[in-house]
Amino acid sequence: MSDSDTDTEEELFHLATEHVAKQSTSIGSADLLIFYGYYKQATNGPCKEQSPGLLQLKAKSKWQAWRNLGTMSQSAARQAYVQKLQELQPNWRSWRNPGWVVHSIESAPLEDQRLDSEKTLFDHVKENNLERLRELLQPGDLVKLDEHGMALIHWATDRNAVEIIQFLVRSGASVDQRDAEQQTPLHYAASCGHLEALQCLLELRASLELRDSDGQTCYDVADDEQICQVLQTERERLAGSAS
Amino acid sequence: MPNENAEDLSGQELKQKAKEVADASEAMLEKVVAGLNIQDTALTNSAGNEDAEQPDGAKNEASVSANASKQALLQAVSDAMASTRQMAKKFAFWSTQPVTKLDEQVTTNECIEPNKEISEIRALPYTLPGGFKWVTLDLNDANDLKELYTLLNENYVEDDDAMFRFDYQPEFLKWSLQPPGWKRDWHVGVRVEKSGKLVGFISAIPSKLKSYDKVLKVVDINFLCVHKKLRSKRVAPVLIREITRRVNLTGIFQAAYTAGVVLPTPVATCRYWHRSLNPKKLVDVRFSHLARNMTMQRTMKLYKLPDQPKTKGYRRITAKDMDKAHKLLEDYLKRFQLSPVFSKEEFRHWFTPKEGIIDCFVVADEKGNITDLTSYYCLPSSVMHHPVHKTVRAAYSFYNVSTKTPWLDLMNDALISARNVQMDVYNALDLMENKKYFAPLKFGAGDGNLQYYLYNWRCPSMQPEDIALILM
Repeated sequence: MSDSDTDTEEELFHLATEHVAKQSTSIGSADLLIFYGYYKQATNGPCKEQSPGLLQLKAKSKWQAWRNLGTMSQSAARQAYVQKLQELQPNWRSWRNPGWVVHSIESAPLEDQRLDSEKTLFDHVKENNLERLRELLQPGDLVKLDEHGMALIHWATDRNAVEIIQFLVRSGASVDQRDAEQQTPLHYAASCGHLEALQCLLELRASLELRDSDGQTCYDVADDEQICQVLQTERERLAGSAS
Repeated sequence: MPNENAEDLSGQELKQKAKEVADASEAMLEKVVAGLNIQDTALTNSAGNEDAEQPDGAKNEASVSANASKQALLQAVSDAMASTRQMAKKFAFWSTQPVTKLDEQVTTNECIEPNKEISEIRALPYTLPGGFKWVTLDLNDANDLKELYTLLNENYVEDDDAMFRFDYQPEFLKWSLQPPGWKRDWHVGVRVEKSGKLVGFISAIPSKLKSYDKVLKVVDINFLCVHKKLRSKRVAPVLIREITRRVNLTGIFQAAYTAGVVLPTPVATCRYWHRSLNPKKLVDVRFSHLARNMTMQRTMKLYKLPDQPKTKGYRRITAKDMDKAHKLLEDYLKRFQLSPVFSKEEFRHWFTPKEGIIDCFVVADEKGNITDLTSYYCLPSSVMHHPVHKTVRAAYSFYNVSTKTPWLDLMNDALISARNVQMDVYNALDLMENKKYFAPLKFGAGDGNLQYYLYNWRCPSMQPEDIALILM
């Protein structure tokens, strides 16, 4: 029975490093590298070592993970380490040290984590990383469909990532972009019940009447009352201003 | 009082204990070293497979890695020592209790120590740390009930950083702590003498339990809770001793309990599985997780359920069904190795639907026979630090029997019933026959184990499928 009232940032970091060491087999290699970088930064400060030779791939990628953190402070690195673990295994603390009482949640899916350099634009959108998207977006990317038949703006809407939707449209994406099933972003917002994304798309003048390949409009796929209400109000407003 | 000093260990016993701890540390060190080797290879593999083509750095690498493993070994040894000390401290209490030892080979199904005469049982309550006093709570008193609710709500889940906390409702507590034969004396509280604040609790309820071929009079121990400010004062062992004393005084010497933590010694280890009913909310509050390539849109379609249950004759249980349903469950539970034996009154108590607490459904055929039964209890969890959602509404699978309706049909209808009263998730342990429907009905594995324990009873350990006991 720990008294976590008293856990300081250092203790939490220490607990997190122990947990990662024990769980290293269930953490993807890319994430282990990220942990390694934060760990070195937290314990040794910024990387001043020479880059290992090109042939030492493993050493090189470890060095790079550390080097990438630049002048991040040791305290920030400790926090980032804990934060990263929190994202991967939200329940790690109770898992590490179960008390009398268990509160189970669903285990995170085990999937191969990717290095930042391996990530596609789609990955950045799925992770709601506007900064990387801003750096990497080329005009041609806006209409590309991925292996799921979806464009960037569909993924952004599916994840309710309002700022990314706004950025994509400002960058020239069509707010009525169709996916492989002829769904518009509004279809995604309505069927997922994402109110914020829905309102954002309406402000960007998304069309309410487009049909997907099943012949359904965004009203037809909405199953949340609040969403239906917003769509209804918008439809009435448009009808009013048209007449 | 002949038994006053019964807990003091004689010199001989102490020597024996010391030897056990020493043996255990040795065994643990061996395990750590073995584990370290495995981990070492795993790390090397996961960091990349380029080792084959390293003409320059290979030698250098090897010595660095040898050095690193030496350091890691030292670290592991010191960790192991720390955890042995911790274990010795932790199990200092359990080593005084009639429970199976962690490494004990058990082939019998029998009590560990014989029943005591009333005169052998300590007559006075155990001594609490200074400044605290025993109280017996009256759950029929609104104030006592509210205080218990608050204590559990704020302290039952011990991890203060937990994202979720159980939110046992007052009426739920009354239902689970006042079954037929309940005793007020077994609702044991600890208060601060000065302020009167409730800071500790433990409970027992009477029950009959079948372990393999023997039926025992037991109590189910539950809701052991110590206020977080008191965790260092080792109040929990005193609570356990005190409830044991009070139960022993009524002539009961066995108990069943569950916990997340591994103590000496689990009779079985079960795991929770979760079936999303409201996937969007569960992802929002991070109860569950979207895989990278999964869309919310597909997720919502995946977990969508029909509007109404489909099985012909599926309906909520009524007062008239009770005796037939009791018989159905009684016959069914016989096939398991660890199962409760409910009286008719107990069955009526546990299976009469109460809104927001317990719900039960049966399938009746044309002749009025009850062929199948499904039930779940409702236990919301508070969501910590979320701007929108404050509560996750969870249904927990209780007892289910299928004799005519296939498992998938029966449990799918149970999911629909739970969804129709706005439950967000349906949880079930991997015991009884539950594993049969997890995959096809889209349950996902949970991240924590639930250990089952028996007090003063030794029996061979069991698989989850052998267990048919649900404690709240």
